[in-house]
Amino acid sequence: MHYIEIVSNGIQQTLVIGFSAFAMGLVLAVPLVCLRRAPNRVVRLVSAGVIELIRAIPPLVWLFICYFAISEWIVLSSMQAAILGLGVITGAYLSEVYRGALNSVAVGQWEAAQSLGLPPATVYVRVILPQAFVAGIQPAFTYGISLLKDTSLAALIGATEITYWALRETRVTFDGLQLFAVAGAFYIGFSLILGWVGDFVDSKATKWVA
Amino acid sequence: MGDVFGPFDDYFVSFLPGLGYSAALAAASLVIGFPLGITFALLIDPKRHFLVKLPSRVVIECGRGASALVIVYFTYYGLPSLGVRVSGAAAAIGALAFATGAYTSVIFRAGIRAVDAGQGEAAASLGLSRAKALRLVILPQAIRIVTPALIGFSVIIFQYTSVAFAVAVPELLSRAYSAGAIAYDYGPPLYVAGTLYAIVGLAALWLMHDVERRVRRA
Repeated sequence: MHYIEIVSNGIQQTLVIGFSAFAMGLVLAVPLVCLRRAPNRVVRLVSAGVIELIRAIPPLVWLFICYFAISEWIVLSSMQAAILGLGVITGAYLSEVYRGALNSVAVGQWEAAQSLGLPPATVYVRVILPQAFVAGIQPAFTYGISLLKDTSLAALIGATEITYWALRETRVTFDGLQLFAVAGAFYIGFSLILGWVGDFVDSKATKWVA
Repeated sequence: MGDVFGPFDDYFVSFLPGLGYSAALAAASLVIGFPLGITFALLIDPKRHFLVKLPSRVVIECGRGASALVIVYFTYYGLPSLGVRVSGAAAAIGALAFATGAYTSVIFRAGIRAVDAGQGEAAASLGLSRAKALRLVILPQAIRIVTPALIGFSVIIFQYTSVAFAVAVPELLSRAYSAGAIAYDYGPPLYVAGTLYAIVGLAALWLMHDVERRVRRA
């Protein structure tokens, strides 16, 4: 019980890093997906390259760059660096989620909306985006779960989240078996909760659009 | 090239052994992890007794639900409490192999399900035992179907070998970090390490798309 208390000291920071990075990614993915769908072929190719490059660099390397390398220009706390690094990666992943969701809307929906004489903005807001939103919910939650697990990497740049507390106490008591079992259980628990919330939101949204 | 990129080209050369170490960690994890994934996939077969299925499910969910770093630490700091001392590299390989087994069990399961039911029936009607039918007929086709997904997963494992930094394994990121600490300038070595990871990752993804096209054509 004592170990659960110690490791739970990190819950707040784990959740702050996870949710902030996800929020940053949700916003950052909007311009990325717009560039990715731009009429200009060169813009599309370059943005696709940037997205692939961001995803090809390991999350931990991003965190190190944000914490150790960027500090030459601007000094970030370990929590800020973790949010920035994970947020950039999340933006790249979610832009692909948005793209998949937009592509999943049947071409007939565009054509039907246009043939009704609706202005392009209305076609987007009233017809396409609601359907794309529903299609994107499950993949976005799936990514959110893997992001939550990646927040543990922030411990390696000194953020005081769940894994950090488990590691710190392990160095005192040498009882890594129990401490990291507790830390793992927290991540598994949060993953399960996120999975249920995702299913719930998905079923509600599907009813709302249909 | 000389000094064109300042310290950058020195780092490229001096990090190559680290890149090799990372690749070796990934290869070892996958070589152990893939058979483990097939085993898990067979253990959660719907036809099995729930006393087999349930614990297997729990083990798989632990591998998928806990983070890679936590599993590495659990192995490195946890096993000594059970009287087993492991090196950092062994802990990293063991942990990543376990994660590979857990994640790929789902991939293999999907592959086995994707093989037409008639294939199993045909094998049975030829008098093959269930084990032989699985080994000679079902699995080869299932593995062929999931090869692109396995390559994609291998790239992820290659990226996550970087968490071995946490248990003092001299892989690519550890070398970049040490070089940064010595020069008191972390930027250049980290950019070089990131580029090396990206080159390998993007090359593997390109291979994946190529294999995907071929599997689809076959």
